[in-house]
Amino acid sequence: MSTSSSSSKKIVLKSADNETFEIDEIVALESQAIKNMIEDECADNVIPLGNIDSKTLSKIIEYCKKHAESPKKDDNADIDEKAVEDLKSFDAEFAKVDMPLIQDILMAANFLNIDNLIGLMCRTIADRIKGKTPEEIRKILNINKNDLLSPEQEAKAREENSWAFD
Amino acid sequence: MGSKDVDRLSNMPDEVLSEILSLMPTKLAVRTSILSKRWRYNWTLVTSIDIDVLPFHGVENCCAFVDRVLDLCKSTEIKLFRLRFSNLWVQESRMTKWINEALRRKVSEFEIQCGLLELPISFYTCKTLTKLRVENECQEVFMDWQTPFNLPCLKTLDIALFSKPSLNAYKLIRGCPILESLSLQFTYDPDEEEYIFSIPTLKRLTLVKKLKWGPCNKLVFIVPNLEELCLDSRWCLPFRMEELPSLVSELSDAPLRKAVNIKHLELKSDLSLCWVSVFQYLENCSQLEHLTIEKPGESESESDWIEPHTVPTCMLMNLKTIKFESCMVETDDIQFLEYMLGNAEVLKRITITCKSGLMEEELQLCARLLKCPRASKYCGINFVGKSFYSATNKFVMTTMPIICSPIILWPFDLNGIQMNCY
Repeated sequence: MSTSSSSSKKIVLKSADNETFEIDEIVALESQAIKNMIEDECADNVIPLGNIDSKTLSKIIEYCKKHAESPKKDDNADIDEKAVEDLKSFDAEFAKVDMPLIQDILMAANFLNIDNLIGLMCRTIADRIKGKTPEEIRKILNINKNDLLSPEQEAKAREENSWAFD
Repeated sequence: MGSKDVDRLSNMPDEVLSEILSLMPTKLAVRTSILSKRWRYNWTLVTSIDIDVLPFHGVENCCAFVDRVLDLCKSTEIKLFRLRFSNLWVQESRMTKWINEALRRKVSEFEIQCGLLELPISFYTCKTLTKLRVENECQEVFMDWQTPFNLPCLKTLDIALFSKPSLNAYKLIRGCPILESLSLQFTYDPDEEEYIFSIPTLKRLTLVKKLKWGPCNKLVFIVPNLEELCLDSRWCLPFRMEELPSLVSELSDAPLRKAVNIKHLELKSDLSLCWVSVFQYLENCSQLEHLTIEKPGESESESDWIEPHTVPTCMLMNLKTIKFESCMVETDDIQFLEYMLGNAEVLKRITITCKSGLMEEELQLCARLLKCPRASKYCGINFVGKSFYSATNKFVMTTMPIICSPIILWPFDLNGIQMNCY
């Protein structure tokens, strides 16, 4: 066993499709939900995440790793400008994935309570639907045809909010 | 999860949907009411209200929309309330109603842009405001905010008042006891009085003077904990920085006293810079780490380069980065850059952005600076040129620190040069 890898405490996460991910505790602490579990000593050796698949979980871990490594804003007022820029461009690159994955990440981030990641995914979705027609938005978000308003309901909604549609 | 044709967002809690809607202009958020049953009323939970008159047909439609949104919005706390009416006039009773409504919902960030702005009395003592931006473009009507302000939680204040008196702005500033960031944009003033502001909590200060004519008040800032200073002026640098109160001279419009902790300094000017005053700033900012100089316009007159008698302390100890941005890089600019490269001993990075678009000019500048000896052997130079290599792509050339051979013949010798395409 190498000393460097055993020097920090490890946490194992298990995805819905039974893949396990061993990560440093510090990375796992980016999730408020896992942090609470660890603090309350509810966390076993392996934390099962039955509603997150391995593809989504590996993305989440990638995000948490990067953010755990970056210097935190409140630690030191005098952070290198470059580190801040670096994290920004990481976030921008990170969000360049398709909408189903974005929604999966958002759902998982919401479950794991990772505030920054929820914010990043919400911003990404907002940017992608801004200025689009209702039909385009429905397509982007994959809204089910059965959930649509009836023509009468839609007419009523348009009338109620007429200033927004002029 | 994992399946492509499932609408996961609709199964998420209301708060997540409303967070997405809070990140877009309110008009677009309301339009999502026809997307589906799930989205029908979600916009009423938004925590940010952001309304601009521009996409509406006329100011009355926009006002009716604000009324409607405030009627239907169920959020008990509003994080951001932003109303942008350009320079249009909004009925006072209406504005009062809206502002009171926002205050009732514990608004934390408030941004208002309109013509004549009258504030309701409750606003003067709002305890929830942390961030405020006021933009007022009315030139004709004299408006006077009578009551003294007391905004005990306000940390960020951004004022762009284009009405004649800046007095309203001064009243606002004095009413903010824990202010950390202040941006003040002003045009001209009817008197040339001196106003002194003592703001011990202030960390960032931006002063912008938009017009080149007309009298100006003398503003004195006593800001001992200032870390970032940005001065932006159309015609020259009318601001001076002085350490001792006794040194305030007739010429200075906005002197700064005892601001020796400044780490970031930004100087913007349309016209030629007065190098003497630039070095006065550097002299006074002994802790300076980051310097930015921007010259967005073209110079009308050439300024003479005058080398300072002594190298400012910050250049020997602290100055790490320099950003220089100019439309045209003049001879004196090059002399300045050569001086900085030759004397700043702990410089890590100098970024030069040249927007002339003339390739030959940019290449010459590049070649000249690469030959220049550097006092800091760890200093890298970044060039951002408009025309390097391609008219459409922006290229950045970075030279890595050159320890032994300061002379590089560019572009034939590419040793130590990296090119990054953005």
